[in-house]
Amino acid sequence: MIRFTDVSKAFGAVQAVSELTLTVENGTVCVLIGPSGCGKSTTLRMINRLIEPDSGTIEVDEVALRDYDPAELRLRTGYVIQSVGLLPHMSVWQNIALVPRLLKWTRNRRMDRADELLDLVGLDPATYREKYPRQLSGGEAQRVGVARALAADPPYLLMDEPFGAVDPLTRGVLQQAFKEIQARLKKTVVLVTHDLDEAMFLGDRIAVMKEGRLRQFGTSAELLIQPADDFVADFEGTDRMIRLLNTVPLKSLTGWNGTGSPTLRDALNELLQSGSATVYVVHPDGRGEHLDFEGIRRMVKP
Amino acid sequence: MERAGNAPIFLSIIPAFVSVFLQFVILRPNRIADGTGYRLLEFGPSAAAWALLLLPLAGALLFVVLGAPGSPTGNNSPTGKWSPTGTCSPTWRLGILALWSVTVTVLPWLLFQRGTAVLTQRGMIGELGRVTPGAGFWLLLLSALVGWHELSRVSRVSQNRSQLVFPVAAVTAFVLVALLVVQPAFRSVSYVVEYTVRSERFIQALFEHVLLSGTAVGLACLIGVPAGMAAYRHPRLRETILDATSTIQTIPSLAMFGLLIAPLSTLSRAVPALRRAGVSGVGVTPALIALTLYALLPVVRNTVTGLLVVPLEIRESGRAMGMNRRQLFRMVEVPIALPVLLGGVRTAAVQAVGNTTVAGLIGAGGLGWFVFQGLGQAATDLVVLGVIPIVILAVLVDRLFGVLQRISNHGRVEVEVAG
Repeated sequence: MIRFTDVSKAFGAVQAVSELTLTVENGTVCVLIGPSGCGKSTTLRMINRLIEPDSGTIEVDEVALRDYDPAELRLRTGYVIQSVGLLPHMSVWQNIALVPRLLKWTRNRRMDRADELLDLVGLDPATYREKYPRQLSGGEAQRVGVARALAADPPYLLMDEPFGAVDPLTRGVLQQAFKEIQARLKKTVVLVTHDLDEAMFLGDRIAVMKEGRLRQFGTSAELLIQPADDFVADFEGTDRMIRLLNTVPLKSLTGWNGTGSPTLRDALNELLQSGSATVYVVHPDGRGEHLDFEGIRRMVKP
Repeated sequence: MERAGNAPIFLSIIPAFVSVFLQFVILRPNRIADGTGYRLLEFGPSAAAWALLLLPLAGALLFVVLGAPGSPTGNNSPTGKWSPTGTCSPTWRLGILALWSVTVTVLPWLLFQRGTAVLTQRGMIGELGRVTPGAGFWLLLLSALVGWHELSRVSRVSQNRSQLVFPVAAVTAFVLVALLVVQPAFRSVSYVVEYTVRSERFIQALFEHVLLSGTAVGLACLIGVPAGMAAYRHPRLRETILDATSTIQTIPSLAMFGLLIAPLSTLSRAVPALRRAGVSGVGVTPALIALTLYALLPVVRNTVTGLLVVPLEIRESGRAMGMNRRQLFRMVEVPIALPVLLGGVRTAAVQAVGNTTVAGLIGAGGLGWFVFQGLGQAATDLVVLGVIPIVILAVLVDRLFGVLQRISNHGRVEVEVAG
């Protein structure tokens, strides 16, 4: 668990973060979102003490951050950044096995672990093990970046716009891959993004920030149904209700053949596209149902 | 990727033909006397030699004028007019260049040998007499060098075999030098004559030269790398350190050696222990000090630059993974800075090889001794005897560090590793 209590941080005259209070539960993904300069990255970087707060306390597992040794803290906190930051003079496996090396694992164990992680992030170990960062595409580098962050199996994962530097298609693939990995590993993740779709796709809870202040913190459905203020509402855009459809997962949808799992939005799309009066869906609890337009409306606005 | 034009082929071929009209060798009765010059044609070289010279020329002209067979664009510029900088197929270019390079490398020696033999027969070379290469010979050598360089460049562009060309060239050069020394006909070449007279002094000087410049560079690294690291760590120190080393660099080397004489003599007079250790105003001590001081700037500057260009996000990502300062330095900053740092040592080493020559003036030995003896006696042969190994040494040192740089840079984007 990561808990912020009244945390503030200023850079000179600029108040980057003001009186932030926020709790990230274990095993969940908390997304920090907001326009540039809203303090989301600063917040993230305070968690592994790359930045020290001016006031307030941050606790990790009920222990105040200032009682941790920064290097030790970082060893158990995976960190993924937009530019990836792979070390150019080390091969892929050496990059991945960097934290284990700092933890003084044996070389064999490190190599095994690197292979395991390459598998996890969907890269063939035999092909990628000995490559150098410059030989990787943006998407591959980003996968290696995630593998590196997970190398020593840290309970915490900090991600600063991890998928920001790749093309939209690759981004979608990476987001899906990350979602699947997270479903298996159940890390406690804090992820910074400015992409609302990404936030709603990946985040269990979303913290909307503006000018260093937390404007709203909740699930995507909560944010969409009840925006705390005009800023949050504006930030969510004019298609809030459509986005809301996305937050309702379905187990299956007849006639749908996309990747991942369908949502109510896909059901609406199917309804519009097929021209039939209803569409057959199965809810996550296993209950099947023929939905018409009215049925869809009722599900998001009872 | 560089596009190879035809111009370098001409740059290689034209000097060779001009050389035909210049003095190829000069016969001199002794070291100082002016001699009599002879052109290539005056030896009446063999038909084989002429064929060797003319064949590549004919080939080159043919393919330049008509366009190379099998080349997609021929030799023609887009305007349809022939252009000396047009392109032709790499295979043809490579072939013609290889042929030409062999010609200009082998031909001079053939002619030289034959010419010397003819002249010896005629009794034109006496006891102290010698054959000195003339302008024609040097022009032909230039032609060979341009050819070799172009060959290596084209082969790099077309087939990526640059790794091969240098060893091949080095082996060829070695064989030629060995021939020069061993072949009786070459015994009368003036540099060989000078070498034979002082072979022991020469070997010793070569040894001194390597030792002196090597020690100076080693000392410069011992001082310069830590100084560079300090300058990197403390921005306030940086300017002072860099200014100090640059200022040293602006002092002319001759003046530097001169400046060191007085204080060192005083020091050695005042402290007997130092005098007993061999410290004095002239000789090895001032030479070593001056050479080390000169080598400092490139080492310090490149250490600082190398460390400064480590990208911020790489540094931060190392920190974020839990590296402490020492680990970050050892595992991230130093390896990333290493190619640049080695570039500094490379510059320093090449410079030191050159600067050590001047040290000959203050009695520190080295190959400079030959240069200054030769200058003093107006004996160009002696000067050249000193200069040739210096040039070879400098090139070898440069290549050696180039290879080290490439190794230290493995995996990364191929950076321009010019010293």
